[in-house]
Amino acid sequence: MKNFNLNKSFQSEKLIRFNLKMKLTALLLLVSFFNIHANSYSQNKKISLALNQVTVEEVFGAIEALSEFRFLYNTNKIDLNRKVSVHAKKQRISSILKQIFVDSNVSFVVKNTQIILTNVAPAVAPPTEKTIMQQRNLTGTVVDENGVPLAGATVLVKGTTNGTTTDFDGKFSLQIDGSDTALLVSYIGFSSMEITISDQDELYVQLVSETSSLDEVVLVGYGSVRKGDVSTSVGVVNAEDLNNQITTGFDQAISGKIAGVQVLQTSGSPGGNVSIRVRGTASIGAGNDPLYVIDGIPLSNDTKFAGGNTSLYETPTNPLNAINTNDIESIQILKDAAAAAIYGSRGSNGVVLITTKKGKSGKLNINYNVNVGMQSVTKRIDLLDAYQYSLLTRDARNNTYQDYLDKNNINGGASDSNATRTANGAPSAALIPHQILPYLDGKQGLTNTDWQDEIFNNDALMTIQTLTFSGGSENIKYFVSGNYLNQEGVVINSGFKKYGTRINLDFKSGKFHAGVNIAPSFSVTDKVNSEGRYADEGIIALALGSAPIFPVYNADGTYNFDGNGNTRPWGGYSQTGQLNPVAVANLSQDELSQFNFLGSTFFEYEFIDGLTYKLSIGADLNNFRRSYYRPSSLEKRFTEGSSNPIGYSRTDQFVNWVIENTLNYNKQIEDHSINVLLGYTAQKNQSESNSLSATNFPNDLVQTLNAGTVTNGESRKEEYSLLSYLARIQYGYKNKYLLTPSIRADGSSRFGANNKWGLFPSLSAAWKVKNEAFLEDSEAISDLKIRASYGVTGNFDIGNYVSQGLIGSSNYLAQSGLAPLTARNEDLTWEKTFSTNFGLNLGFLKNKISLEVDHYISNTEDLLLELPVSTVSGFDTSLQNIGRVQNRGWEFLLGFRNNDHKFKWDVNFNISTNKNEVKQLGPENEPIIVKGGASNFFITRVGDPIGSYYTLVTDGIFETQEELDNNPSLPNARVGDIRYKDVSGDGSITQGGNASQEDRTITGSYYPDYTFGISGGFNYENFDLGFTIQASQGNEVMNILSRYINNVEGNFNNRTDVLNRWVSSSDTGNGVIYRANRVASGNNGWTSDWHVEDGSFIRLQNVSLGYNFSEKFIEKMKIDRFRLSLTGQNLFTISDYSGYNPEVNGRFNVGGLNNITPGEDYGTYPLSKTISLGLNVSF
Amino acid sequence: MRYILVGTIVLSSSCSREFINLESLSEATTEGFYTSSDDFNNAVVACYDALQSNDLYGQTFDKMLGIRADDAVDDNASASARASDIDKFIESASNTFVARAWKGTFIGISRCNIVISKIDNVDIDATQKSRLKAEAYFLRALLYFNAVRIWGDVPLITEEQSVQQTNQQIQDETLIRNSIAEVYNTIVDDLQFAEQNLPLSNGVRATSGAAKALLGKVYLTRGNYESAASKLNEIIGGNYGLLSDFAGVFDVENKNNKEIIFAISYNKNISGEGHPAWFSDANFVIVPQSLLDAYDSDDKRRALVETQPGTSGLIPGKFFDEEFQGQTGSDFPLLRYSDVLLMRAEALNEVGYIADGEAFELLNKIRTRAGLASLTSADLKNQQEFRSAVLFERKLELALEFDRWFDLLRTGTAISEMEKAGIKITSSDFLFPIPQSEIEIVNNPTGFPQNPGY
Repeated sequence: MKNFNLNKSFQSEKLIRFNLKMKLTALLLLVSFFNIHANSYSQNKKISLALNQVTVEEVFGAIEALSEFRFLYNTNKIDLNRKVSVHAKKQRISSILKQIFVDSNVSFVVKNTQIILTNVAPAVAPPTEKTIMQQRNLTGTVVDENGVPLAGATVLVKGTTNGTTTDFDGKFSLQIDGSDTALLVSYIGFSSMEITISDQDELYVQLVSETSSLDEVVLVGYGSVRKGDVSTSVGVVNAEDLNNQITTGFDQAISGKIAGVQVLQTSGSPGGNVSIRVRGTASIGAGNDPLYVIDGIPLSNDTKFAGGNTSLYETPTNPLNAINTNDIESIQILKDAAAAAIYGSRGSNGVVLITTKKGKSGKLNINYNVNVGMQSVTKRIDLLDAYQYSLLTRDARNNTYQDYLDKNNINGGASDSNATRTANGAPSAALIPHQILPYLDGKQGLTNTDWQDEIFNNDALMTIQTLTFSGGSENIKYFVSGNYLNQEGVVINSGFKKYGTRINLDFKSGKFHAGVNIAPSFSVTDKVNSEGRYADEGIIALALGSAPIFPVYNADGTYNFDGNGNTRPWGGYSQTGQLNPVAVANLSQDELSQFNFLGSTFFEYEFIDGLTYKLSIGADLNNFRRSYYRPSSLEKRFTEGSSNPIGYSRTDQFVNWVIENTLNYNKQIEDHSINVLLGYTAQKNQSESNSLSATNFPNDLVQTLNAGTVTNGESRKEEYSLLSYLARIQYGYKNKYLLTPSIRADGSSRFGANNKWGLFPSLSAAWKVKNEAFLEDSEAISDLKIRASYGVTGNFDIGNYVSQGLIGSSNYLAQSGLAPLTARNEDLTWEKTFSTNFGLNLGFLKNKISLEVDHYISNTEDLLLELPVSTVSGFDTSLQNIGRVQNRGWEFLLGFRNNDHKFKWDVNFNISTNKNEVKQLGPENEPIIVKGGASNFFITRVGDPIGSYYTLVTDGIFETQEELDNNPSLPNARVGDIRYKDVSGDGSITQGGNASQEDRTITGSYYPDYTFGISGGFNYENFDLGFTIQASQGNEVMNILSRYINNVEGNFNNRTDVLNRWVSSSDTGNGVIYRANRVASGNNGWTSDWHVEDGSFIRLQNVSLGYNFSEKFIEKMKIDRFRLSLTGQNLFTISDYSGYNPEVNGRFNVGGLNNITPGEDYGTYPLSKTISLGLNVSF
Repeated sequence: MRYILVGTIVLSSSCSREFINLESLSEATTEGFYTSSDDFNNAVVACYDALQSNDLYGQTFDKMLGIRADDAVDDNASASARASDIDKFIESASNTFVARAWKGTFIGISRCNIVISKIDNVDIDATQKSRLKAEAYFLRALLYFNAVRIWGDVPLITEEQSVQQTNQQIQDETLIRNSIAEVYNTIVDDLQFAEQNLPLSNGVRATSGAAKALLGKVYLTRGNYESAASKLNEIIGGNYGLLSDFAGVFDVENKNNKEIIFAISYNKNISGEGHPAWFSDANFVIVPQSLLDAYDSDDKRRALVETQPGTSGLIPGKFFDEEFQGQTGSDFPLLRYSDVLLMRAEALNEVGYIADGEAFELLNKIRTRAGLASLTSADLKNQQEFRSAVLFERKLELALEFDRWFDLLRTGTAISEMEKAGIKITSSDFLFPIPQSEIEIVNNPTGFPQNPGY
């Protein structure tokens, strides 16, 4: 408990109440100067009265009639019929009241216009003069840092049992006598305060919340512990850290904040996926996403693929879109297995616990927060302009022609006309397209389209608004919020809108405690096909690859499709047909709407002191609708003219409910503190989808499916259930030694009949060395704690019916047939992660410097792998539990803070490493090699990280014929082509197909060597500045897009790198880029280390400068807080990566194998930077 | 309050078993299926579907059995799935089509085995039971007959077995390649059951006639000529006959005509029930000039071998059916009446050459229908000449019907005939490789060896 000398006398001005209408007026106008004099009413109001022998009640009536004063009293305690006389001429109310009550046992307090009368017990014996003099009434108000009154705060006279609690307005009134020296004021969640009593009658007590202290409460799942008592590894982000970030989801806002937690922005598409990885990737065949628990409701990850996908590479829907960042109070991430074991079979990938804001007792608090920002693309890729492109195309074709001439021993050369070339029998790829001739002639002012300019919207607006009302009485607390978010995408015709509301209520009466949280939201995503290949109409890839010689529009305003080639002249030259990306983005309509309802209710009853039963029921309901239309006005690839329209409509419904019964016993017996938790929970998730596809629409006027012919319809329904028993004991001895064993038993419908139930035990221990006698008094060392933990968690994210032998349709003509679809595996069970964690917390100089270190080793066993089996069984693969993956790493969190001076600041630095290593695969440890989107391969093999890039290795360019002749090469290679390394040393280069894979080797991995983050906050007077830096080092990207936009073939537009290409033995360029050739001779496009790029980056994630208007100003405005802020989100990224986004992970939807094919860039929605202006007003 | 708590716990514990035992809602599961006659009918339909699938007749056998022989050529050496390697007898054990044929065969066999193993324990109408069972036997025999001719010794699986049981067999080294003779014994047993229990007519599904015709072909292949001749004779003069117009046999508007004894059926108008046109691999597959030249200018069958341009390539007339939604709907005539007549002629000749006997009569039926002159003992003076004439007639009559390669193997003429087509082969080329993946999974070089030469 801190000693606190009263430093502020009661200021009635600060606490003046005025009606809601005024607040709203003030809110909306923001600048209005109501001048209400009520604040000094009691001092200024003068009253004249002349009353003889009337009752007290009559005097009250007279005063109330003449003034705004109102009397408050208990009629049983005040004698209203006593006769008094009052004579006053322009006197203050206090002197009038003194006249009335001079000889009575009534005391009074004047608060603004209220006159509160209390009854002083009649003294049995005539009071001595001393006590009369010293016994007095002490009143006051208890508020928080923001001046919001705290209702229900305890005020106790030190050393006595004399005490009270504050009322609805945070006010208290206490009778004290002269021997009382100090008051103790306490409130849950705030540091208690001791106040020396001097001669004031009115006190103003401002409590400081415990956020920075070790008494801060940390949620650990089904309960909480004080931060100082945490024995596992838990990462915490509080509301303040989220407030200044301009993001659509909280997930982006926590990136860089927590050691060991990687937040990957794999795509910038509005409403798109962000993936969170806690301490690496443990699973090959099952999910790697953490479990999200919002106010106790575990969400289902199944909504990820809601809406289906209309293209191969489509990014999944973010299951967290529904949560409004501004409603979040805190986020805790359970990182080690011991912490997550209480979530049993879902804990392997970590658990993210999200707590939303609750109301506090006290007066109504209104907060309005608005941010308006402009977004733009963070990066442009330097591409050739139309003139450079034409030169490249010409060179590529001349070289193709030269190769042809050489091969057929024909005389000729680059100067041959197309007619001559044709006469010589050269293929169309050796001709110079007539479209580029004007460019080659150097004519100025020709079409020179920058397709990136055309598809990006650089003034994309983003608005985020939240309005909250919160407050409450001692028994009922409320928090109501409404939010609106509108994000225009930086790619044309894309965007995200969300409308949400939240009501959190809390009721308490005696031993009963109940609460309800309801949060419905509705969002609409305007999708564009931004991800993936040009051939699948990925508009990013199209914009980068499209020839700049074509215009966006024809003269008549229609879209120009000359680049689509084929039957057009362009195609006649063997040029690759590409659709106009602007047309693809603007003409296709694709909308995904989501209605989400997240709600929970709990009832709590305290049987005896410390023993509480809690019943909690929650539901997460989701409804998605997707409608897609590809109109006839958009050409199909390879086909000139109008296309057959395609329509797609899909609905998805997810119903996820959970019931939890917990019994909690909390007791302190002398030196032993004990908290026992017993629980029983049941959860069920049902999902249902319907989809229809149609075509043959007569025109584009009506785009709903009724207008077309339905070609395909499907309806599916799935469910899973989970039943669990859990128990945990948190034991502490002398607040020095902490021991927490826990166990959970999970039964899941997803697993085989023989393995339905699993046990997930954990044990964690901590030694609070600081509390030992030898350190207790140390000034320098303010905290020292050593932690160790071991736990078992599971991963049940494997699909709902994989253990069952499913029967699938197997028709013969119109006769329906049914045959086994999957092999039954009654032994199938969860993946298990065994994790050990060692940790240390160290604080110096009142924790001005703090250090947290963690080291962990996690072994994930019984991996779920689809293994090949003998086809004799009727199946070629079967899902089995086999294999082991290890993740191990270090995490450091170093913090500095100084709040002692006017200039307050804190800086936190975190760094983490994780090493991912496959330890065991199938029975023979056969490596798993899978193909990516192009001829790129990924290998998962023992001794290396999951899904490493597996490619050929380049060794420069063949510079001379001699070099080509004397080294292993591909049969068709020529001087100027890539020289591949003969990795196997067998004298030949081979890759894939049915031939040997010997010359491929591991050339990189998506996983970083280490990641770090720096975040800080500075505060000087009214200014504050916050920033976050996020960085990742040693991660590589498989840039498949380079195979197109760096291919030197002249059929795609290329990056400006190709200006440094190999031209001849005397002009060898940069030694990396090979010879231009429309028909590449040396298989230069084979995926090699040339496509594997360093994805290391440092990103300035957030900078926010805020100005809090001075107290003087806000007092005038009758408001509690008025803050303006300027925020930059994602301002810049330093990276050598040539693509848009080094965190790209393109293969999400492909074959369910995305774990083993990470880090592929086949074109992706770029990240945007946002510069926004924010306003926050509180009443 | 206390009672509510106790009540909740007791209540929830008692129903916990059911709570976490959830069966798939959008698919049936093997548990609880196979109980009614409808279930078994569905299971038998799935066996037909296995043959129809792209792993067998749909997209693979035109390479494995068609392109392999001398009546079609594939020169597409750049395709990643190498049909041209099969054509040139240089396919590796990792060849995609070989793997697919193996997979398709054993998935089909396991579907038949499920029916055969389970149907006896179920109480359904006896006639229906024996018919469904007979269909499963017929289809299993067909699958094994192909397998044994493609790979030689193959594992003989006659009961339903799970992945776990298969893995156990691998571990115990009891999963082996059974001898050709053992496999044929089962094929003959299966077909004998089938011919007795299948109906005379059965829509697009197997009939007793189909079982007899197939059994006849098995006997012929095994050199059991008397049995072959008599078994095939059981069909002659029955429900089946030759169409007067050869082209009509393959007319997609005239499916299941009286010449078709058993066909693998396709329908381009039902999603997933068509096939990608056979012998049309992006114009790389060619009907060789040698085959076209083999036909007499008057031969009406030549036109059906010539290719016509379809949407995705050139398609031989026999299988031409303009594509709809990316698929073709022509049927594959697996057993046709003219095949039966030629097989009986062959069998009779092998039993003993009789100048202008029944064998001549049968052969001439085929020739006259094709618009050719009859042959007499003056043209075919002895057994050997007749034997060659029948083989040649089969080449013309059954061209591209996936029979030629097996005919060459059966008659011992594979090496000489392939040499005429410009491909030198040896006896180790008679069998395809066992897929490399299967060899590696079973990993038993003594009991489950690779075929020689691979």
